[in-house]
Amino acid sequence: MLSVGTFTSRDCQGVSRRAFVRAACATPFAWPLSGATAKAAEAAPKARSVLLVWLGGGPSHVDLFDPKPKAPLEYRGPFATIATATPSIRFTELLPKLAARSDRFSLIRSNVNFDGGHRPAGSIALCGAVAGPAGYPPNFGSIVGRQRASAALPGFISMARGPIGDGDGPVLAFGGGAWGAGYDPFVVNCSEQGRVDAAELKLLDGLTPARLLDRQTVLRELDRARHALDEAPPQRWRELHERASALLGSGAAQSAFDLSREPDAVRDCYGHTSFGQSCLLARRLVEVGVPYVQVNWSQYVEVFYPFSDYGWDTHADNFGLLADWHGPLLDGVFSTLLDDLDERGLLKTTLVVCMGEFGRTPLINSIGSRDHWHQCYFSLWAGGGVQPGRVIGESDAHGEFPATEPVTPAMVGATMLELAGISSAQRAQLRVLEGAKVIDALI
Amino acid sequence: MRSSSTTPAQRLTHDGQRKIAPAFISAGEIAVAVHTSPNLVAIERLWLGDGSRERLHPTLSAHQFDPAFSRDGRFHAFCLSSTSPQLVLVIQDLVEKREHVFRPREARATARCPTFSHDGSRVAFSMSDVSGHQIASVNREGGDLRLLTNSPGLNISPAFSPDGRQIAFSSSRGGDFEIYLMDADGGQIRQLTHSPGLDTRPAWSRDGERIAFTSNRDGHYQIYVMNVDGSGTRRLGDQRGRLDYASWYPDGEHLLAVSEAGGKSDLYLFDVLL
Repeated sequence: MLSVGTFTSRDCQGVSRRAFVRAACATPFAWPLSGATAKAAEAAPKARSVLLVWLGGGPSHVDLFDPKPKAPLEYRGPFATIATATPSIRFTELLPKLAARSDRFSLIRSNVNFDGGHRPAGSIALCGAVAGPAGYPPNFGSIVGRQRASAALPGFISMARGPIGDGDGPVLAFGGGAWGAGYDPFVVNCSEQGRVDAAELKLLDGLTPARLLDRQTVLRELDRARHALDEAPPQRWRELHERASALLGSGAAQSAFDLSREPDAVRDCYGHTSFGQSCLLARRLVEVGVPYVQVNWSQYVEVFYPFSDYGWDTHADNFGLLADWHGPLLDGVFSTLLDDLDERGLLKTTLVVCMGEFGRTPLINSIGSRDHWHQCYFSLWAGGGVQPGRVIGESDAHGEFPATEPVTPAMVGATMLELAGISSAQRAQLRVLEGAKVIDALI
Repeated sequence: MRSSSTTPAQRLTHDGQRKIAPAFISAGEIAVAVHTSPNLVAIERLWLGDGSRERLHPTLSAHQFDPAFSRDGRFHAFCLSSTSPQLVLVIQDLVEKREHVFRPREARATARCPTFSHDGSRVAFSMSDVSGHQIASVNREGGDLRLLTNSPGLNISPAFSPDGRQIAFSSSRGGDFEIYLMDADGGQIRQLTHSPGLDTRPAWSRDGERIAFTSNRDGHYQIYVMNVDGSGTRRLGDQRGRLDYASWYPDGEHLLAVSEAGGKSDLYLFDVLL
């Protein structure tokens, strides 16, 4: 169920607890800029929605999807390999369910990034370029959201407890970037119990759900809040008002956020973790037509720091963590997501991409773990126009560098946008990912 | 290899929160690390009698893992996250109310899976440090560090035998994780399992004759029991979903484990009829 502040909108009548509503102004929805651009994007995209499963922190490619069983022990790690549904392709033993479904997705083993730090690499991976004088370009989701947003739902929804990043701060290209905060994602948090907390709608203290459904109240309260904001032209604020009000007033939208409408068996299949229930919520959101959904594995990349929430940055105890938590959880939840989308006929129209900002050092470090490695890593692609069962690109014998043409973040973005119906001409018009190659082998 | 016969398991918790590495404090109390919130893993104490629970270290705000207790219940060890990726080993004297901390030398190193010797005088644990991932031990003041393994690969999940003479552990020295046995001083290492999958987390029965462990040899994580010489391996029933983190009930006839059946992580007690 959708929660606004400390209450749930489904039960809004009679709920008396105070809402903690604060300004959403820093992160309003991403709206289409104009009717003209929106029309241009209507050209029958292969992917009606894009669902990015973001594994922040850097999952180890060698220990998951690109094992090197013939490499020396100091490279290959302790995990055995298993056959997959794709002839001659093997994953590690941590991924038995995905191995059995490898004919449902394609795997790229030659991704590269251009920075070894989480925040810059995460930014580059999510927007396709390094920062320029105006900052980072917009996130792929902001572009899709701008072009493809519908009347009642945000174009770009990101699921996290807060801004994703590391202990030093957020990933800078998590949203609109150079386009401004107006194109940032609508952020919701989904707990392991499936409680959805729409932090973006915590507008002003005292604004109850019932009052939020009163458009005049929303307008008045947001107008008051607007003075505290920058880069918020009046027209965009009017749009925000309408969207916020529509979102909260729309039965379809509220229903999408209400996981209690799912059968227990489905919720159990996804597993009662925040990541599992977030993936279920993502399926519901693409089902109602949200153009771009990003599920974040965790808010922070770190694992063991006191504040951290088990991200993929496994500098210490990489193998124990992967065997214990990360491997089984990814294997189970991502398999369920693919099954669920497929069984509902949604996989054909939903592009699913799973990746992090980089991989991890193929050479095991001095404390028996792995560090950052942006020279070579993996990504998974399914549905939405992707030909399944393919392995695109190869890494070298130790998994250190691509042995074939590297796949850059710009290529990842161009391919996502192309499948989402945003053509190279439109990308040029928007001045995003200009000249970036589409990964033709995927399509 | 065959499945052992078991009676239906008794479910001890119902909250579904992720649970890691439960351990018996006494016949009526369990300690277990629980994901109490997305950014806190905390050790909780569970009373079997009424099912009540409380935080074992309510003042700690950092992640806590791998609770262990000496046989007489006087000493308690666990692993604690620091201000870096480092995990330190904390050893508490619950009678004298004293605490000692062992910090690995490397800033990102971890201490995991402590286990007490039969008399509580030594704590063995797995340590990722400058010498790789090895089994080590310290005294209960956290001093007198002794490296018990020095092999390539990873050496993890040590478990002292009830008589304190041997340590079972998991090692990837042969390519993938198998269960090994060594003398308490690190001598005479013998390989007990030879499966193509991952075998880890050995747990001794109180009589010292059987070892329970986790393996994915049949496709997903399940618990198996073998004789201490590696013979007679049997799977603990036929569980749906992951079954992991075996710990023997003091009577030697029951095994405590974490099951993820139904997508929820909860503690179950299995009646083992071997």
